Formats: sequence, structure tokens, C-alpha cells
Amino acid sequence: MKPTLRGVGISDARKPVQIDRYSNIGGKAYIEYHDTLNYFQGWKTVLPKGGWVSYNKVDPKSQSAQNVCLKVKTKAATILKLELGKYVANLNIPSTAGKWKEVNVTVKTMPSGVSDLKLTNIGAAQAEVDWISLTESPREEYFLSTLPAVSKPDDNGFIRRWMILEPINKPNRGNTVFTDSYLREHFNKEYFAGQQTILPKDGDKVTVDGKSLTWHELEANRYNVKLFRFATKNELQEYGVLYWGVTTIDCPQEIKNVRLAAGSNSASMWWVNGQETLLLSGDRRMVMDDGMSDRFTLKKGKNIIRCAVINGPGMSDFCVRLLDEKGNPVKNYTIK
Amino acid sequence: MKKIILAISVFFLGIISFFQNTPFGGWGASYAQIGQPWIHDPSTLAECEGKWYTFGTGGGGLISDDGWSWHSGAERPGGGAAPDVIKIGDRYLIIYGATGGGLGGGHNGRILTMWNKTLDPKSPDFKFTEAVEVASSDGMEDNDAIDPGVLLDPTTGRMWLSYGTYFGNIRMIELDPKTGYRVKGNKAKDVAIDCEASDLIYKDGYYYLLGTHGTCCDGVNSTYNIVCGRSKKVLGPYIDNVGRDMLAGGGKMVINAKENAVGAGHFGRTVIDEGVEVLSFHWEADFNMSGRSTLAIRPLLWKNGWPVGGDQFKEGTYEIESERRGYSLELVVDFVRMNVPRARGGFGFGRNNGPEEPNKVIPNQTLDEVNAGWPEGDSRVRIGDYMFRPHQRWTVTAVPEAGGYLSNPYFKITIAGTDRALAATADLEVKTVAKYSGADEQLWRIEQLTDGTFRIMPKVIPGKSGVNTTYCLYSAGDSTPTLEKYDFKSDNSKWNFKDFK
Repeated sequence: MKPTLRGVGISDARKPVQIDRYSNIGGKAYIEYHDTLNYFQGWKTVLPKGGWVSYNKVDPKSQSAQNVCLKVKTKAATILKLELGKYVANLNIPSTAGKWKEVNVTVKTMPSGVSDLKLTNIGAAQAEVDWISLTESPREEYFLSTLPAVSKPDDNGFIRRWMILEPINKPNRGNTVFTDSYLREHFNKEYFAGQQTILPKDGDKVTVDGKSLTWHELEANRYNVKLFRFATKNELQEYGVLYWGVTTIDCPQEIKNVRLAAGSNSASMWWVNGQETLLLSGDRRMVMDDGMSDRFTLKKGKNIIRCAVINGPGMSDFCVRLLDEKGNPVKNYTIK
Repeated sequence: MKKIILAISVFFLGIISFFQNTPFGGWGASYAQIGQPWIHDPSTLAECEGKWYTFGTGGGGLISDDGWSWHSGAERPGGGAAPDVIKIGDRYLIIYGATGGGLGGGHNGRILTMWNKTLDPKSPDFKFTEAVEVASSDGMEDNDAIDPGVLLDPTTGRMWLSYGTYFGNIRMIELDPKTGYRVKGNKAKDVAIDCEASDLIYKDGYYYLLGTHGTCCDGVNSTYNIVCGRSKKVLGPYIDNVGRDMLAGGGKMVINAKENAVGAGHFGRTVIDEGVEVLSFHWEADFNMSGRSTLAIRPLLWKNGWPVGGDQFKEGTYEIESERRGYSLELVVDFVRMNVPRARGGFGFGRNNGPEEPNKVIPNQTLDEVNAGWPEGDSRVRIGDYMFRPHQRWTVTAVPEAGGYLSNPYFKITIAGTDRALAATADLEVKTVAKYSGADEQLWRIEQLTDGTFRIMPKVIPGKSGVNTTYCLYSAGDSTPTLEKYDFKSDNSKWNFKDFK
């Protein structure tokens, strides 16, 4: 099996350009499988010192493209020279300690329109490159790469730290089916053992319809938890999905007359300490403070919040916070 | 005899209401524009050489000679979805998404702009320039580059474009109004989530970002609705009425389902005159038009600095009350006293009502009781204390065959129960004619103003050529109506239609 070469047409350089499908290659550069035990992982380009690869006709589709993103693997820092026609920029690539990593490098504005791309390793250490993309800014991140040991609600009281189960396959071609009675039926079904009781740890697995799904501990880098991006990042099913989430908050004191305020895309149900507190039904987009639970008492000590979010063809996400009786966000608790 | 006329009118009204259920039913029936106003995702309205145009998804668009009756015939190459159009200098810039969007499909959106000297496909000047790309999305990012909405900032002359769908963020970019190209080096800014079909407008120091929420493309079950946030700065943050950023899903309602139609989407604003504004949009399904997706135009009101989609003016019998004094328009006839003794409940003078005597309803004065002495021919009108008497009750009836303007058909205004009709005179006064004849000076254009009051204009002034767009019914004095140049700053130009009870 030989790798596919460049083919015809112009490549949208904002998206990963697979330079292993090169136009030309030299200086002892070569391509090889990512994983010789699993060919489906595709190819990578190995650039030893002096190695180069060229890929014709790329277009960053912007007059202000100033970011180069590479998925690279190095054992020591090196420099890759990027050429786009007459444009030249030297990209300082740090050591990735032998692991694949997406590295963003800010450069002077790259030429708009179509150019031929060439990448040459002018540094001392070998670099392996999976792909390269040319964008205005680094691609958005949605979750923290390193989780703090203990989290707190953010400045506006939003709970960003969650244990999320990989999406359950729940095909729906549209979201108008999410009536209250449909949701009660489908949210109250048992999909996995201990659905309303377990407190999973990162990496724990449950079985749903014979398929093993993994719990992921995550913390959003924004007020809302973008489940859709959790799916795309982990190459999971994006649409026609049912998500389960759980988080535990630890309150230093009892607080009466608290409301849970949530928004979700699409429908969702929320439970606090095992009690259903809120249902958001219908074809719904996520809006801050869209629905409010009745008033309830937040216990001193641990309180468990669970949610289920269902979606057909939508960008699943949710945002949730607790509000006190004056409508101000409750913030004096920790999240584990 | 009068009763027979009344019975015949009731019979005809019955026929009109029967035709409510047909797509081509007369007005009184349809609360959208008439003709064949079928369109999805309409652009803001554009005026070109006396005609109105709007462009929709797919390539074509609608044309109207008067703003009320619409038919297909506008042309736009490039296909794709949801264009917008703006006149800059003596040219029109058309902006459209080359792709279709939709959550199930791809999100490699592209937005293109192109110019034309005219929108009239029959004009020898009708030729689009080559379309240029001003924005695109790569299919992976939180944006789908379709659904453009354009604003030429009246304070700076800079041009801004918002675009995007439910697939991620609504973005804003800057275009060069001279070329229609993206301003060099301009970076896109995210301004909202949860929207499609966004648009930008400016009024009195605020920029407003309009977005369509809810479910599109689901016929009579579509929940599409238009909301907005506002900002002192064009790039936001756009905040709603409860202080929520549109980037957190905020938005205050501008228009949703009403008047037997659902799925308001794709906002456009047209300023006709100072204080006279309309919003144009589509209904996903007009129940009076077989559930088709139709163009609709409604008065755009402003309440406490927020845009509000108004209701269509409806036929009926009204008091026509001056905003100047609060008196009402009336026929110049003798005031006929009602012969009812003054009631006395144990105080003052008059007939003594015992405390146990039940209340009775005093019937209103009827036309037959007072019209014996009314003039046979033309007579003048004045403005007087409103007493809900027959000479103050005006029936406003649409005259569909007389055409219309952006928000309504023309109306005749007659004394209730009679054919006596309000008319403009050549010397810029108002009178009534004994019998409505259909003459243009007896037709009236009624438009709700941004403050909720109405302006009332005769279709023509006798002796002046063309359709009148200058003179309106006007309070020269508290008691004296006339025709004068419309002035939004003066309450003399404004009237209220109050239900006759």
C-alpha cells in the first residue's frame, strides 16, 4: 500500500493539511505509517535535519493568517522553515518529549490566496509531522488540558468541572420530538447500572447496549460545557446522542432557597441529590439561565448534581449554576 | 333602506371572510403581503427605480410595484442561501452565502459579494460584477459562513457584516463600502450564539444585533422568532433587556408568531420616513396562505429603546383621535342631545333613582336618530370632544383593488353605517363626500409610527400629480384638521385609532 499523493485542487490550509500526501520530498525526509500495527492511523512525515517536503496549492483563505499549527513529535527542540512562495518564516518547535502534540506558532501575516508550501527542518533535531494548518488564530480550545485537584465555580457561579460519559447512541433526525413525555420516558430509562447512584472516576467504564463507554473527567475553559466539542475532540458520535454528566459539590454550610439555573442544547433533565429538579424540553438552544428549578436546600457537605442532555442534529452543550434567593450566584463551595 | 344596505354589506363581508381560506383571498383575510409573496430567508427590502425588491434562498426574489402586492421575478445568480442587499451610492451590493448550511450538512460556508447598477432584470444596466469571497468557514470551527446581514454605519461610514448559524458563533467582519471586499487585515469577531439569520441596525446611539432563534423549516410547527441585543459599540458586547450577553444566548423578543402565522425569521429594517419604519421577514408558515413561507412586512415600533414588531392595522370602526389634544375627528353637524334624564343616586338634581333600582344600560345614540339633518352633499370635518356619537364613528375598510404601500392596502374612511367618505381637497383641506366613489383622494394610507401613533395620508392630492407621500391629516388647531407636511416631531401629524365601544 502506497500513500495517496497530492491529488488535484487547492487545499483549505485552515484545516489540517496532510503533508504526507506531498508534491515533492527530499533531504532524506520520508513518510511512514503512524503505527505499523494499525495502518488506519494513516501516515506521518519524518523530517531529519535538512529534510524537506513540499505541498503545492494551499490557501489560508484569510488576509490576516498569523498562526501556524503543527501536529508534531520531537525529542528535542528544532526549527522548521516554512515557505509559502517567497514568504519565509522560521518556526521554533519545542521538544514534545516524544509525544504527539499540537504546537501553535505565531508568525508575520502569511500571504493570502494560493501558495506552494514547503517545510524544511533547519534545526538540529528530527521532527515528525502529522499535519500543518495556517489560521488567523490558534484553534479554539474548549477544555483545560490540566485539571486542578479541586475546582470552584467561576466568577458567575457556573460549574465547569464534570464527569461526562461518552455519548450514548440515540438517533433522532430532528429535535422537535423532545416533548415532556418523550423526555420523561427516555431520561428515566436505565441505560447502565447505577445510573442515578454511581460516582464514577475518570476512565471508569459502563456498558450500554453491549457497548463499553468511558467516563471522562473534564473542566470547561468557559462558562458552558461544549459536549459537541468533547465528542469531536475524542472522535465520538456528534449527533443523535444522549449524554450523562455528574459532579459533586462540597458546601461548607447549608443554604436554603437555592435554585439550579440551566440552559442546554437540546433538551435536558437535572437531578440534585437524586431528586429531579428541572426539565428543559423541546428543540432548544443553550441560553444562560434559561430554566430554573424550584427552590431547594443545598445540604452542608456533599451534594450530587446529575444531568442528561439529549440531541439530534445540534451542537450539544450546557451551562449550569446555582442562584441564591436574591438571584445572585452561589460560589462558596468546591467541586470535585 | 339604510338597514338593507347594512345587510348587504354584512353579506359581502361574509363573502370576504369565506375567501380568507384561499391563498388569493382579499385583504381583511391575508395578514401578509398579497399577490404571490412566496419566499424563504428574504433579504432586507431594497428600492430601485420606484420598485421594491427582496432576494431569497435559492437564487430568485420578489418584486413589487407598490410594496403591498408581490410577485416573483427578481434575479440573483450564485444560488446558495439567505442573501442581503444594500444600496451604496448608485449601486447595489448583494451579499449571499454560497452554501446551504443546515446542521446535518457540511459547514464549509462561503460568503460572497457582488455589485449591480440596478435590480431590475429588464434594465440594460442589469449586470452583476464577479462575486468575491469575503468570509468563509473551514467546516471545523464554531461558525458556518452563511446568512449575512449588513450595516452601513451612519456614524462612521464603515460597513459591517454579521453572519453565521446555530453551528457555533455569529461573527462580525468589516467590508469596504467602496469595493465590497473584506477590509484588509480585518479579523472576525464573535458576537452571539444561538442565532441564525442575523442582521445589524443602528438607532439613536445604539447598535442592535438581530438574530433568529427557534426551529426553522418545520412548516406550521416552526418556532422561529426574532430577538435582539444592543450595544453602544458596533463590535459588542450585545446585551439584552435583562443584562445577558448574546454570547450567552441572550435576546429580547422582537417578533414571534401572531395573526395566524408562525415562524418569523430573517429580519430586515426599512426606514420609510422619520418615525416611519417597517420590519420585513418571512413567516415560515402563513395559515391564511396554505401554510406557505411568505414575505411579511409590519410596522417597527420602538419602546424604551427596543425594537418591537407591531401588528398589522386592521379594518374596523374606530374613534380617530388626535395625538395633539385627544379630541376626535368628526363630521361638522349639529350635536344632537340624547334625551335621557340625568340620573341621581340620592344626591344633586335630576331624576331620583331609588337605591334599590337596578342599573340599566343606556343604548348608544344611533345614526337614524341623528342623520335627518345631516348635509346631502360634501361637508367639512372638524375635531371635537369624543362622545362616541354617530358623527364620530369612522369605519376603515381596505380597498384592495386600489393597491397599497409597504405595510397595508389603501383604505377608505367612512362615517359608520354610511357611504360618506373622508377626502382630500385640492386646497390641502379635508372634507367628506356624500358617497364614496373610489376616487384616489378618497383613499388613505395608514401607517403606524415608531411611537405607536399613526399617520394618515391621502393617496393623492387633487391637482397634484403622483402618489402623495408628503401631506398627512394634521391638527392645524385642537379643533381643526387640515393637510400639512408630515413631521414626526409634531404631535399635530399623529393620530390614534381607538376601538369604538
